[in-house]
Amino acid sequence: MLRAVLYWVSQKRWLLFAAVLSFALYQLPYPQGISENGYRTINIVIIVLILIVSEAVPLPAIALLIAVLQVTFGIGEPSEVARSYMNDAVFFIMGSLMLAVAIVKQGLDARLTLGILSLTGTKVTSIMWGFFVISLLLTSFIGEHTVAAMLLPVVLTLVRNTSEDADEVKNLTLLLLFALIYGSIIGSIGTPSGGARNAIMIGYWRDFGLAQIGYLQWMTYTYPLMLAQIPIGGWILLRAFKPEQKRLDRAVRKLQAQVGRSGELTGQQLLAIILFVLVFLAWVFLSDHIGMGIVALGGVFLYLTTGLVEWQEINQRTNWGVVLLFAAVISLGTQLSDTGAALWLAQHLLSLMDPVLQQFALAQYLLVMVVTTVVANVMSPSATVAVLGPLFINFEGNTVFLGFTTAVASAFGYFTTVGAPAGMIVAATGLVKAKDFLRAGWRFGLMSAIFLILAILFYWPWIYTEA
Amino acid sequence: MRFLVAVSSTIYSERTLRIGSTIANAFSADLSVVYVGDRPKEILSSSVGLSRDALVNWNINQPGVDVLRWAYRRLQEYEFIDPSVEQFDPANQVGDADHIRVVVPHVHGEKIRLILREGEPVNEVKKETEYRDYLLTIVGGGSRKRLTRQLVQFVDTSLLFVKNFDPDLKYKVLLCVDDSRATKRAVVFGAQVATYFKSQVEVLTVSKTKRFGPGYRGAAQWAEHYLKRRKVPFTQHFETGDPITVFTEMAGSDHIIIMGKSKQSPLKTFLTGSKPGETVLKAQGPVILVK
Repeated sequence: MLRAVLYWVSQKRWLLFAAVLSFALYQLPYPQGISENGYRTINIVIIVLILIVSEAVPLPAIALLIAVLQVTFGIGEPSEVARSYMNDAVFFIMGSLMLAVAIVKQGLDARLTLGILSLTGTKVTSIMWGFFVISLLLTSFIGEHTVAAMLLPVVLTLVRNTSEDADEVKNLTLLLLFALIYGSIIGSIGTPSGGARNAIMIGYWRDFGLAQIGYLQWMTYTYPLMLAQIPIGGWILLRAFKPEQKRLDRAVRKLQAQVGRSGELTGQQLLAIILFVLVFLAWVFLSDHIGMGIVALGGVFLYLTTGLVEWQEINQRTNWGVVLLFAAVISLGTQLSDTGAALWLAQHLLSLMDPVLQQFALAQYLLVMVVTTVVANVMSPSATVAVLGPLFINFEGNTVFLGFTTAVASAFGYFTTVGAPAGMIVAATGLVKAKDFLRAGWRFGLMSAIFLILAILFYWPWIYTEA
Repeated sequence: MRFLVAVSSTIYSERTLRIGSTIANAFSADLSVVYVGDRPKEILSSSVGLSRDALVNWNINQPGVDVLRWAYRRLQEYEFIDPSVEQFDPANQVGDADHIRVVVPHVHGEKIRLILREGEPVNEVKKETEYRDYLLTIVGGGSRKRLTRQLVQFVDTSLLFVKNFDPDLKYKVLLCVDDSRATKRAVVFGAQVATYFKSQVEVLTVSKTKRFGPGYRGAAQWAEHYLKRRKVPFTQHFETGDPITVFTEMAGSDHIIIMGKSKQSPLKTFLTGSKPGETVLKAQGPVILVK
């Protein structure tokens, strides 16, 4: 019995640490300038950050804990907390996870492969550019996890067709896999549908009455930033992972023969593409009025009613616990803002940095960028924006620029396997290790940071005054 | 009787698998091979699940399957199973609540089990030993403090740490006896290992003081009787000093240390470690801790 208890303690040490810390914070007198509810909300945020990063308890349990603590700490009434769990950003996360299942299931990966290879030919560098650019462009519209799930098997088959001996194709494997990962990461900033974090930020701006940013408006801020990174990104990849082969004639022919067996584009596949185009058009033209989440759910409805996907498949492949967690974390983010905790934290952070800010106006943006990048590489990008977003958009300065800086920097998941969905998907194959992420990651991080700073200094002010 | 071998990769687990199959042969035991891979972050698990489904459609195995295929072939090479019959098929996967088993049909089906798990290594090995009945768990390493201590304290089977194992060396057996309840089982286990490998046994009793209490003397006497009865050649040693230092110095790198699991309170073990656990950490060769 004692041994079982000790084992539980060893496994749940972070939970116990969070509980003790939370109890201690709860008992301490709260600082001046912040409401009691605000202070308690910060207390919950600290617990949640510890639990998400350590995975000491299952994610849905964290989501439930957030609701329980919000009510028992007296931060909100039960009905109010319940209401705050569901909004358009949560609908979007739910819808995009379900849409991913529906799209991946259609077998469009074979079509995509033929398309990419017909463009690139058999030269390794061309193939790398093909995967990098296509994954980047596709991700900007349909999200990282969908693109990575569709293209990963293609890349692995191509590598396997080249050689069964992993040592002979080590760099080739890394080159193509990182073209997929980093292409997807960069692409995810391009549009609101590129990643759940973008939808979360749009939701915060709207709900806090700070700004109304539509789909096309988002694109005008981020798409040029995304496209500008293509040439340097590709060059970095080729420098970091020098492939052993120059051409993949035999491997490409074999792959083309493999996917060629799937025949012509079927009616179902055509319908799946048409439905996605409709969803995309609705995001562009209707999401300002009815919300991105509603459009995504409408798309899932169409896929279900046309029989392109069964509910059982969606139900099995969607982690509802993750949806619940995001609902809870967004609710917590809203409480951070409503209780004034976000503003208090922001003011304190800025007052600490006051001497630097006097000299250097960009300092607060750099702080946002660095903190967001570090947390995203430990916790996942969307959860980072959900927790830190309300804090950073309360910094002094242009709330739109601060929000975009947070959303874009949360996509700098170049350094770890958990920094981005695409990285995690590829790392789960066991073919890339943590140290591989650092090999090219720091160069990509530096490149993206420079482009973001240039956007903050020159591009965004220019289009902001134009708007 | 069934033994469990935990493997991590084709590069680092060769020796673990080799000694595992040899010991299993010595005891005529069946063998389970478990691969414990990293579990994807739960927050991104939907995305990983989706891509794994897509990979299956392209006949690409998930990571551990290739390690299990390698383990299967190695066990054929060691003639633990019939080398002439190829029965490994990655498609023969049976999913259970928290793990996957690659089923090997017919002749080999019962003799070996190939299991895939994902998560924290100690937790998954512990879960596996609770799921099926194992007599001995064989693991590599024994150098990482926290991992070793947790395995020793929380995995409820006998344990073999394959540390610095040299397949070409003829190992002697160093049988460490004291007044713990597991000593007798350690002697029985050690005798069987020594008989199979035709190894010389050295029975070692260490006291911190010059006085050897009745418990220690009784254990050494019992070991002497048992080894004589089993006709295992041995020499008896009584030493004074810090047990862990004496065990590891006497064992050097050419002895397999065999000793019972700890008798001390779980709380003390949890906070300060145990004699067997510290011996594993300090040893230069393989160590067997008998439950």
